[in-house]
Amino acid sequence: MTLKLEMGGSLKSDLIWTMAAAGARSDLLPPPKEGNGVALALTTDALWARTSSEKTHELAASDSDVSRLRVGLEGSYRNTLKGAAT
Amino acid sequence: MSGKGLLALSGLDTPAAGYVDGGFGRRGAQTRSLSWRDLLLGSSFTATGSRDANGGSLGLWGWAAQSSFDGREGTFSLDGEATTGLLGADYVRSKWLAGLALMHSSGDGGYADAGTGSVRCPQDLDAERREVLCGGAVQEGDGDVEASLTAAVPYAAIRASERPKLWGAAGYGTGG
Repeated sequence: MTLKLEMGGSLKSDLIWTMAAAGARSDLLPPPKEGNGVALALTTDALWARTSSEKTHELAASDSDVSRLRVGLEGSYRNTLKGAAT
Repeated sequence: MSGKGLLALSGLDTPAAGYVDGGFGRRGAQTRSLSWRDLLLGSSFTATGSRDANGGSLGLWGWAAQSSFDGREGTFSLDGEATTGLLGADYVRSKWLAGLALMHSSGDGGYADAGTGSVRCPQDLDAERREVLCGGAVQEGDGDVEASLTAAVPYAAIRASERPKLWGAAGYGTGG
């Protein structure tokens, strides 16, 4: 990371980034194997990430963490057109 | 990768591609050339190989995107744009999928601190840090910030039974 000061000069520090994420997806209502039909799935994921900048002569070290948890429903509708080829 | 692999390109309809203000040249043609950067942003591809002798298949994918950020903490504000590209390869066999993605991201922006005039220097700093943090170089004025990051992200997924699918990823990267 480089900070370019308005008054001139720049300050530079190295960055380290670490991340971990996991998720799951499950069909509540599986899509039809043939013909038309509705499908519904439950999806969820969690993410954690940390960004750190190293201490330099001019800049103090810093750590910032971010985390996210999502839960959602995915819906779809399958419509097979007449005469469609596979 | 088998020659029978499927290659699909999408997202090439970037709005930067020769847009004419006012519609169809009514105010005269206003165009600009399409750079490789414009072409890549918002693009993605997926290539999947045919099954090998073990019943597995190899896949290759990638995408590039641009996003903006804007934040404020007290009197300090920061904004800018970041461009990220991802390139991944994975192997799927039976219930398992395992892969590795390489990511490179670069961003630039600006920062401003409207309240630097009222900042008081902490009294418990040693002489070196006092000179750096309170001497005016870091606290005063606006400036620009640039950063880049290159990371590797291994990932895996398993279809545990007929319905649930679980996945996980871990990443580590460095930059400056």
